[in-house]
Amino acid sequence: MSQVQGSGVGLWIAAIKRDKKARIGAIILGVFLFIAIFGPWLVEDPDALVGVPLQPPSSAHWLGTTGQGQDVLAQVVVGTRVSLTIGFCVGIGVVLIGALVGITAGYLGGRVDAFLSLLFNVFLVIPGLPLAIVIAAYLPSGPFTLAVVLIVTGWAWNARVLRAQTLTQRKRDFVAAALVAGESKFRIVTREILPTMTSLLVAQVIGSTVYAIGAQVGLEYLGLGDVSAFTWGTNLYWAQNDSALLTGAWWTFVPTGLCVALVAFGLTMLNSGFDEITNPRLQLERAWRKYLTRNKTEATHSTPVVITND
Amino acid sequence: MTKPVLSIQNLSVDYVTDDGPVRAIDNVSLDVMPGEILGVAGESGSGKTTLAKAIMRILQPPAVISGGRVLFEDKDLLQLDEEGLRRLRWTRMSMVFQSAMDALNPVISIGEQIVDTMKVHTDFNSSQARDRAVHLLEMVGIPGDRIDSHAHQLSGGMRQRVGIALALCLEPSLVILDEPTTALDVVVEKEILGEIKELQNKLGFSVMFITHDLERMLQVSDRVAVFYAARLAEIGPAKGLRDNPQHPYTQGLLKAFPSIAPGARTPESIPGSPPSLLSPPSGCRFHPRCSQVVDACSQTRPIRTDLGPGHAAECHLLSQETGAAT
Ligand SMILES: Nc1ncnc2c1ncn2[C@@H]1O[C@H](COP(=O)(O)OP(=O)(O)O)[C@@H](O)[C@H]1O
Ligand SMILES: [Mg+2]
Repeated sequence: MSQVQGSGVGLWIAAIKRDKKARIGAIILGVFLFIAIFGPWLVEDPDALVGVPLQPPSSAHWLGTTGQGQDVLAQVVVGTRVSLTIGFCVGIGVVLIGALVGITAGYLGGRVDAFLSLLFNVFLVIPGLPLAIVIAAYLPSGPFTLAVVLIVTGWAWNARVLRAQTLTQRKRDFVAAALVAGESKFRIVTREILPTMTSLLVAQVIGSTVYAIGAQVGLEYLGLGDVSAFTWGTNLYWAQNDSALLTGAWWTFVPTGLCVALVAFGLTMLNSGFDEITNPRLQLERAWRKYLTRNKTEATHSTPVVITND
Repeated sequence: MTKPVLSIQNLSVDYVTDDGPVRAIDNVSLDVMPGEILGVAGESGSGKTTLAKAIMRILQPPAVISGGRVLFEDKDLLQLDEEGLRRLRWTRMSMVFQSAMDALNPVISIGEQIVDTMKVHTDFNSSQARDRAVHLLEMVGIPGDRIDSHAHQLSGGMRQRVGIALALCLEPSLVILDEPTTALDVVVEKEILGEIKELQNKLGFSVMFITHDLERMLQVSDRVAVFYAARLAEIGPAKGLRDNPQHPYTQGLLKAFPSIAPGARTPESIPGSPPSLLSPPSGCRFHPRCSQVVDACSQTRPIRTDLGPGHAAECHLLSQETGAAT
């Protein structure tokens, strides 16, 4: 078996089985998903005042206490659930909207394309984060608002990429063949064009999720979230508010920061592993590179010469 | 005896896959003489394109050259570094690709592409290069006033002619043509082949001409090499090969083509299909399809047997005969 067939779950399993990067990413993500789903039942109430404020990690409070005397571990764990939920919802949301707009524009062309292209180009030139700050400041604060804000400011780039991809696919002969065979436009888009983009869509969801988690943490850190909720962003907001940096209370912000970095890292690893498994060129090059390394030859621009006497 | 322009000796090329290396050119030796047209024939997948690109060292991953020597104008191309290869490519040896549409840049006019190529490798100024581009286009049968056209404005035949003009613009001593006319209709094909032969007569370069159309190839080539499953089955003068093919595969190929000669036999195809290179048959790779198999065929690889000047084949029937004679 040299080529990975199919799509969806099967591909993911293949990627995780065969690719080290994908495996590392999947393990990191699996741990965080476990924390997000079951964690909140395993820790104390993050709101409860459980001890003396700003205590360093101890056996009673593994990650110490906040400036208010709450348990840091409990806040990080409960924050994981909210932050990951928003991250994935936004990641999927922007790609769904981007796909709808981009593929429609690319496939229908003409006036529809002109209008939709104008629309996403306008959204593209509006700087995303400042707009997000403005909207978030006016709407009632909370995780849902944040998700809406991030989707509104984040979909346009995906639409643009998918429109371009649709334009190139539309001209391929297999689409012409489907047209000749009398397939409907809807079927051509969903059955012929979408499947060729699986790996691109997955990459976009993952990339957008990383963006969403980062942007959400940033906005909340600036106080634009609901500061009474427990998310990674508000954790950092309170750490800053309680002058954690000045007092050297590293345990109030390092664990949350580490979580954000780890999730972004895990998602990126998973993505590059998935890319290697769905992109046959990368896959072939991998075997080739290994072969060259084993025979102590450099990968050059011109065809390499590896003399083997067999 | 004159020295060959290109001498390929025991060349092997592998594609490195997840299942290990697949040999797409297996221990192939052949020469191209100055001013000669060498035809390379073989079924689709027999390794013709791999051979052509391996000579120029332009095979992309996952390809690896795994043995042999490629001597071109006294240099071993397999020993050259990137810079050495760059200096030879296109100035001394050039190539016309199977699909001219893919080989031409869609957003640059054909004239500019020829001019750019010349300016990279020579010290022509723009107007000299442009004059020469017009001259080249006219030489391959494209009116000079089409010089500012783009690839998509030209017919398939014209694009392929542009490809030929581009290959000839630096006066190389070897031009490799990889199925230059396969995508064209027979009338245009005939015209273009005629023109290549005429140009070659006039300019004196050597040609390695690849096609799966053996009949057509025998008309234009001086000598013909027949490939089967990554190996060279037979090589010989065109006339000798047509009238007196020695390898059963060459015989089969010739019988498979219809002829318009009066009283011609009906074409017979060779039974079976070419083997997978992942697990090629043992011994002679053609033995499962061969009508004249003997015991040795499935056991040992046939050795190359010389059958006269410039004529050789790899077949047990032939090596046994000569073996008995000496
Ligand atoms: N990139 C590649 N990876 C693996 N195998 C390849 C690759 N390119 C060509 N091959 C194999 O090498 C063999 C020769 O191919 P090619 O040189 O294109 O044949 P031809 O030009 O005679 O049709 C074929 O069997 C093909 O399957
Ligand atoms: Mg080919």
